[in-house]
Amino acid sequence: MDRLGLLADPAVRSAFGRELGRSIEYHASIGSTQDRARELARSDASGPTLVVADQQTAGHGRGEKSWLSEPRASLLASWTFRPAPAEPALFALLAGVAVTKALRPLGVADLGLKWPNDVWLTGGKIAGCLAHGAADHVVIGIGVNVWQRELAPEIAETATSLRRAGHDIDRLALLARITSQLDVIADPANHPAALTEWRRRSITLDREVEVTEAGIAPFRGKAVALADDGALVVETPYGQERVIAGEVRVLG
Amino acid sequence: MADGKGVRAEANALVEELLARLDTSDVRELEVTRGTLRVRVAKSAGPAQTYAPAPMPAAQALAQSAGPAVVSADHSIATTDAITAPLTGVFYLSPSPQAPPFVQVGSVVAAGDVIGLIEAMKLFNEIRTTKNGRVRKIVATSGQLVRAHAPLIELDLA
Repeated sequence: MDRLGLLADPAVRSAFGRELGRSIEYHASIGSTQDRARELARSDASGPTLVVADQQTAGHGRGEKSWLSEPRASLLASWTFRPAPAEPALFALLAGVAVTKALRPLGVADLGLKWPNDVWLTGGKIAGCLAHGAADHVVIGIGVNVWQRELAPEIAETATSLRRAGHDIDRLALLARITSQLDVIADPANHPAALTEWRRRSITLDREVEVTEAGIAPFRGKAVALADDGALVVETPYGQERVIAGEVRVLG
Repeated sequence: MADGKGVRAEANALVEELLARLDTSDVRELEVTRGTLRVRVAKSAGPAQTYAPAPMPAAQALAQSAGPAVVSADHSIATTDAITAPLTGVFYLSPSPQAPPFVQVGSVVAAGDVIGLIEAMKLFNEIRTTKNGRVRKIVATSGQLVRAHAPLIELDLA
């Protein structure tokens, strides 16, 4: 049973928003929840806001990547945090932890985190997080593959959905839980515990990885640690590298 | 552990890569650090240098041009008219691959205007100019890693 569509009702949206401490915008279809939330965050008058959509027509991934969505299959949402949480890049990384902690009580175990914040389940990516930061706010966007039975051929090898992994998850319940968990990691006092959780769930640490940083030849090494600021420490034949940007591919 | 020969080969490959990039770029000087190996190439400031701390031998290479993998913070541009990177990450000149750039050469900017984004750990940070002026040069290349304090654009101050 999926109840996200209940948010189309203004009374439900208002009650739900009060409970979560945010105003909620619901869209049956939108270009990008992230673009809309950023627009709202730039307005001085805006309080904490959550923009959620049943479908995106122009969702963002990093770089050239887009986030593919079919109607009612994904949880697609963006949250504004104003003022910006302390250590916003670390907050973005720990958003992956927030998603795993939201899914756990809904019965989804064996979740993994790939640096920096991709959420994996049974060998495929099920969720991704992307953030935009300005001086006075941060917008975090999260997409979770929930109900897809089939995935587009270009992502089928590396992505999966909760449904395909055998989990029927109500997107409304997931939305509520992710929102609560994002509020937890927005508090720097909770960063040490969240970092511990990231390391525990990591599918990147202790693995051979290939790092592609923009503009330079890829290099390989062993991911040996997650620094407290979120950097991935990779041991190479020439010493340790601190990776803070770029694509990290786990090898075998 | 790599031997000296391996380090030299790595350094030479890196220098060649940077030279190819500098050839097609307006950037004057570049620096890349990979492990204990540091390579800097410059267009007109003399020989490029490659560093590999002991016990690894240093490799040497001469460069007349190169392009940015990492734009060095150790630069010769006057900081009074350069907007610099507040953090290390990947620089983007436009909000998305399809969108027009925030600024281009000749653009007039006012303090507070967004001139680019720097991404680290999937957080895209807005980079704003703190000065008024006209863009004289785009120093950093969109899509490339920049280090904290490296120049991104140069301004003719208003």
